[in-house]
This record gives sequence, C-alpha cells and structure tokens, in this order.
Amino acid sequence: MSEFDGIKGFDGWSKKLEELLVAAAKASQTAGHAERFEQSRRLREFIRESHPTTPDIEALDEIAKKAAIGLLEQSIDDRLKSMAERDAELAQLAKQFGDAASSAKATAASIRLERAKKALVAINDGILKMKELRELLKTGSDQDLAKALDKAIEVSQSARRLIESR
Amino acid sequence: MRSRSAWISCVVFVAALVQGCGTLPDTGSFADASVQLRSALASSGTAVAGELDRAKQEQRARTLRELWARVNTAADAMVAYSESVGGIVSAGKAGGESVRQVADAGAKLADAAKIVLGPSIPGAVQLLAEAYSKIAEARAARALDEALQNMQPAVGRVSELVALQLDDLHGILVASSELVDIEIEKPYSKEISYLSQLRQQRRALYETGPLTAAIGQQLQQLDAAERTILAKLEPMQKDRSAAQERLKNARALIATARQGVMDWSAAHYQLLGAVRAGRTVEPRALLQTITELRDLLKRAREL
Repeated sequence: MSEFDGIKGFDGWSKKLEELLVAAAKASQTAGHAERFEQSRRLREFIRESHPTTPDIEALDEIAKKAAIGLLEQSIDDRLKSMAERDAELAQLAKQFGDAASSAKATAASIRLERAKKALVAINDGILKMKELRELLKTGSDQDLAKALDKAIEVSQSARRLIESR
Repeated sequence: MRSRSAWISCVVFVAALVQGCGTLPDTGSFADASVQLRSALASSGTAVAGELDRAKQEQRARTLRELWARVNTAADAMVAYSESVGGIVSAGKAGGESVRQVADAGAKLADAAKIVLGPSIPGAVQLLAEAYSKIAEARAARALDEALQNMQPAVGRVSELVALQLDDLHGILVASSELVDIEIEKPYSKEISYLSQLRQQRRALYETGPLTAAIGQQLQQLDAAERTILAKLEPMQKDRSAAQERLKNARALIATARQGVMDWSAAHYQLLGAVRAGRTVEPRALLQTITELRDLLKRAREL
C-alpha cells in the first residue's frame, strides 16, 4: 500500500503535490538532514507514480523534481558550510603538527650527534683548503691565490656558523 | 691520558645511570597507518567530489575540493609528525653508530692535521659507542615522551575534526548519489511512470476477486507490456547498478577512514603509555584498519 494509491486525475495529483510541498518547506526550515532526505524521497516517488503522462501532470512532476533537488542541494550546502567552519582550526592544527615534526627532526639530529659530525667535517674541509692555500703561496698566480683565499674564508665561516649555532 | 680515561669512566657511569630510564617502542605501524590514512582521506574526498560532478553540481564539487584540500594538508602534517616521531626512535636506537661516525670524522680531521692517534683510541671509541648507545636511547625515550605528551591534545582534536569532516562528506555523498539517480532517471521518466501504472493495474486486478480467464488474459497482456518497458529501462538499470557500486565503495572507504582516524588517535595514546611503561606496543585495531584501508583503496582505484 503506497500513499499514492487511488489518486486520480490532475486535481488529485495536484492536491497530493501541494501536501508534499508543504512538508518539504517544513523540512527545509529544520536542520535535520534525514527529514529533508525523506521529503525528497517522497517527491521522487510522486514523479514515478503520477499518471497519466499528460503535459499538465508532467508540469507537476517538474515542480516535484525541482523541490526534491532543492532539498538535496540545501543539505549539501549545509554540510559544506559546516566543513568550512572547521577549516581555520584544521589549518592551525596542521601547522602545529608541522612544527612538532620540525622539532622532533631537530631532536633526532641532535641525538645522532649531527652537529658534531658536521663541525668536524667543516673543520676538516678548512684544514684541507688551508693546505691548498699554503701550496699556492709557494707556486700559484695571484688569481689562483685569490680564489683559494675565498674558499678558505668560506669554509672557515661555515665551520664558525656551525659551531656558533645552537 | 689519565684525564681521558677519567672522562670515559664518567660517560660509562652516566650511561649506567640512564639505563632503564625509558624504552623505545616500535613506531613503524603508527607511521604506516598515517600514510594509509592520508591516502584514504584523499581518495574519500576525490570520490565524493566526483559524485557531485556526475550530479551536475560542478560548483559544489569545486567548493568541496577546496575544503578537502585542508584535510589533505592536515593529513600531510600528521604523516610528517608520525615519521619524525619514528626518526627520534631510530636515532635513539643508533647511538653507537652515531659515535662511530663522529669518531670517523675526527680521525679524518686528525689525519688532515697530521695528528697521530694513539693505539688506545679504537678501544675508547668502542667503549664510548656502547655507553652512548644507552644515553641516546634514554635521550630518545625522554624526547619521545615529551613530544607525544605535548601533541596528545592536538592528536585528539585533529581526529575529532577529521571525523566530523568525514561525517559531512558522507552526508554529501548520500545526497549527491540521490541527485545522480535523478539524472539517471531523467531520460526515462515516461517509461518509469508507465511501468508504475502497469503495476498498479496488476495490483487492482488481483484485488478484484477470483482469477477468471478474462483477468488471466489481462494479466498476461500486462506482463508482456512490462517486459517491453523493462527492456527499454535496461541501460538505466545498468547505470544505476554502477552508481550503487560506487556509493557502496565510497561509503565503506569513508567509514573505514573514520575508524582509522580514531584508531590512529588511540595508537598515539598507546605509544605514550608504552614509552612510560617501558614496554612495546602493538596497536592491533590500527593494524586491522590499515589492512582494510589498503583493500578499499585498491577497490576505489579500480572503479
């Protein structure tokens, strides 16, 4: 037994649609998604059951379809709005997780004694460059000497930065 | 020489003191779950936005994609955090190796500076490596405890928020599937209405009373007409079956992702407990959810 059994003619279907539209309007004003969904389902059932397929009945079907779609769209819009309301807090949390990841990476590097390793490598590089410089002082041209000095200064500075950084 | 051995003794003493200060749990499944969760969240958003496109709701699909990008960013940060937590554990477990690497760098430096190292150095390095492996483990356990404790409220909150986003995503999925169904039915409205009339007529005939020959003949005519209409509706039924399959898979994916977020949060809490109690942790619920997510993601990609 369906709520559409026994309905006949344009007047009968028109009256039924009016009843459904009142219920749909009420549902659209309430916040309940389930109720809107239920009214949308009834309107779709109306479209399937209404007959005969004359232009005036088709016009009623079109109204029912628009109302059914409207209820579903309203439901989607409300959901999108709720999602947007959480957007800023999610962004803030994402940043907090990013910061925690950076901090944990730094801790891991410190446990791995990375600064000490890097400092030793940088000082080692500095000594090697200084040795090159010493060789150039004996034999090289002015241009080579300038280049070697730049490199030596560069590695000394990077070693200093490493040692001074926390 | 005396001062060097005194220093080494001191390190060994400190290492003995810190031994037992903390145990490092295996964080591998936690990090793995984060990666699977990120894929599941991204696929869930893509599936629902695709359904909105099919429902000819392109503007709403765009809005959803924009909003879901934030969930994906949060998931990326959750993965980075999980991996960095794993980084602390692996650093803590590789303390001896770290000392050896520093010693290697030191040896190269001594070589470059033409400093001759004494024969006792390799033995001292070995001793230091053993001592530092304990210190590194204790440092890592303490750092892990601190990191997990500091982030526990954020983990709880992000899980709550992502679960709420998934609830809304599910609602959008159901509504958009209904809109897709309206689109699928659109070209067949006359046939659907006619089929409905035929079925009403059949019900009316059954209710008239005993089955006479005339009624039997009318029923046969109705059956024949219904078969004709159903044949015309076959393409619609095919589209509808495909849409229902998509809906079923997307619902399962969203539900499992939601469960995954909750399990992820619980696993984080379990990790904290494991570090403090000095025991290992095996987040079974999380591992089970990861397996389910893998299957669902595979299915979602095949559709």
